[in-house]
Amino acid sequence: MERISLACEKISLISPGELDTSLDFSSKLNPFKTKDQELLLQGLERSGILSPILSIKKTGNPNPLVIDGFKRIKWALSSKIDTVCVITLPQMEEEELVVFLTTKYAPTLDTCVVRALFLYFLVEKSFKHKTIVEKVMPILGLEPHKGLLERYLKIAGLPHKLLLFCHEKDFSLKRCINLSYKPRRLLETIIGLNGIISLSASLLQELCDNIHDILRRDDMDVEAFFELKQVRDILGMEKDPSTKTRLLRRFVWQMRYPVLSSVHAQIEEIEKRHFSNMPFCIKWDRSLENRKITITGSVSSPNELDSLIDALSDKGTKEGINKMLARF
Amino acid sequence: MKPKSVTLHPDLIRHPFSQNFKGARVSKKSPMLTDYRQGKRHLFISPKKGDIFHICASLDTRYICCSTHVISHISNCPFECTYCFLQNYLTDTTLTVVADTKAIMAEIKDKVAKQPWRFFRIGTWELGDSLALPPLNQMAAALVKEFALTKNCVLKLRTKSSAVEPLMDLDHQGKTVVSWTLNPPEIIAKEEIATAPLEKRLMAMEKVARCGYPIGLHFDPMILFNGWQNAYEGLIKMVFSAVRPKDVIWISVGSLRFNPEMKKKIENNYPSSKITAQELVLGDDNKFRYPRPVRQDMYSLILDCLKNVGADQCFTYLCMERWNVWERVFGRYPVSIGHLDYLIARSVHKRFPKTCPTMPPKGKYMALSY
Ligand code: SF4
Repeated sequence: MERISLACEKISLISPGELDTSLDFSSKLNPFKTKDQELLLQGLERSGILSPILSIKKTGNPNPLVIDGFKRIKWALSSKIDTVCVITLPQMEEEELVVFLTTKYAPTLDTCVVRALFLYFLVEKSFKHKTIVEKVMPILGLEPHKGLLERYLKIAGLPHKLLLFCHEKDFSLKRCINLSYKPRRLLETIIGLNGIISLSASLLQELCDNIHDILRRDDMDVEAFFELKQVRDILGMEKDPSTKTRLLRRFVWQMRYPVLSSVHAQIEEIEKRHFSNMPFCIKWDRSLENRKITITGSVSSPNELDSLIDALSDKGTKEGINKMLARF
Repeated sequence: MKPKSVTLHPDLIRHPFSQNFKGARVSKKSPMLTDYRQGKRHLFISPKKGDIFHICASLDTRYICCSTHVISHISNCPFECTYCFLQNYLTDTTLTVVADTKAIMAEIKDKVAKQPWRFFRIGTWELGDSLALPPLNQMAAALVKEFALTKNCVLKLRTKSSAVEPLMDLDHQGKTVVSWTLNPPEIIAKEEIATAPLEKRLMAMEKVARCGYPIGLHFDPMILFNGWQNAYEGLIKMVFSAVRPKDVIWISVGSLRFNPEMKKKIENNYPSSKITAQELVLGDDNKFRYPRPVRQDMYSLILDCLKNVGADQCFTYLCMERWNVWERVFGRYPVSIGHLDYLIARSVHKRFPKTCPTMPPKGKYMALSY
């Protein structure tokens, strides 16, 4: 270790392998790509390390604890560079250190998932919960509440593949929290279907919610659900992902809402029998709460108006509407 | 069930009600607990602040409501019903009782005097159970005595407990209805945690009926489970072996309903409860309920059972339901909330003239606006 004394700080030339990089959160972000990461690597390739690594002294640790410059170190290691310039600051209080790290990482913590991972990282590094709540959360624009921290920590524990998905789709905190209360096995299975079916953010949520309720209602486990013949048939069929998605979604909905599904099927049957060739549309309250049928039609000529009036006054129309209303 | 701590507001130190709490901590401030469960175990006895008499907060003009009035002098409850809306409602979860009966009665008398023609049903259960704790029961007893002197009011105590001793031997003048929320034993065990078992509730019901109190029955919330039909049929048989139809002033029937935000709360607070996993639809009032055809089946079953035990003479109504559900179940429906209010008053006048001595004027009820 070579040491150059400067008026204000100590700058040393240190082998990158001798540095303690345990506060490196950026590696945790891999493969959670954030905006700045790629730009930074490109810059290093182009111009090398231009600014020194920042570190602090830590009692009982002979190696300086790096607080800034992790990617430079990584790049130096992979480029087989012998020594890097390191500024070593005196020891820092926990609060000071956590504020430094948070301010440093804040711009990259652009989704709920990475914020959750960062908070989890701090807990893992033994920063006190109180310090995290009071010092870190406000910097991240979060309410400084213990309960909220707990929620974020729960989110950080979601399966890795799912975290990646939620990060890519920029899931809101509410959505992430909702997922964090679902059984892990269910989440792993559903996220494992991505590709076989086309999972969107809302579909993932819908499947998780509905299947979870079915499992609880019917005392079923995740395996038993995905072993159901209908589910296996849908997932195993030689069809494109979007067809399978549609079929799976319908099957789950029918299982979750058996009464609504069967009444809708009856109403749809009446609709098909009575109104399939009519110049108007029929709609009804999908919740079945309101006894109300909405009829809409549009006309672009007097002749069309005549046919619409004829169709509406048809005996069959009245009969069909009455049959529909009787289902309410 | 005894509270873990009692805090007494200094203004009430000399209040007779407070004499039962010697050694209570004296403080102007409620302990302001925020944890729903923790709050249930700590009692704060408070003076009356602001108005506490109002129409039931659930009233929604898109539904047919019974437009009962309530005094919200109890907040939180020592029981633990999995479906209880208080889980998502209270900010200060401390079990709080406004002990100032005189002030409560003054507000009631002042307000009911503005509509002397109207029969006011006044409940004490809006934010808690009327008889869940001995201190509440003494409070209830004090109100029974006060209501006995009123003209156009009836006090509605509603409970899942069996603690009716303080109500015995009171001169109630038929001006208090003691009512029970009833569910089959399976539901009481799983979803109405810490409440009195059915047999105890029925024994208590028998006792108060013998004391001449009109009895109210609330099959609400009905909850769906495997075998619900037989269970509710059995329940009605048991109830009417404890009391006679002529003791029963009214019966309300309703089904499980809760706000979407409650779903997560229930699942977290009571993970073994399955009530949120049933098929539910969101109504116009932003509450989940069983699908309409299911509710209709449930209510029709209750009506059939009531008929079978000869209790169809008791005034029976649906709680927070739509007119089309009424029509399916009863073959008719009240045309407005005021109309239902009138129908209840008329039935009470006919069957319990001491409770409602004057014939309610239909026109005035029909003209009520909400
Ligand atoms: S008795 Fe009523 S207030 Fe008490 S927990 Fe049950 S539902 Fe809530």
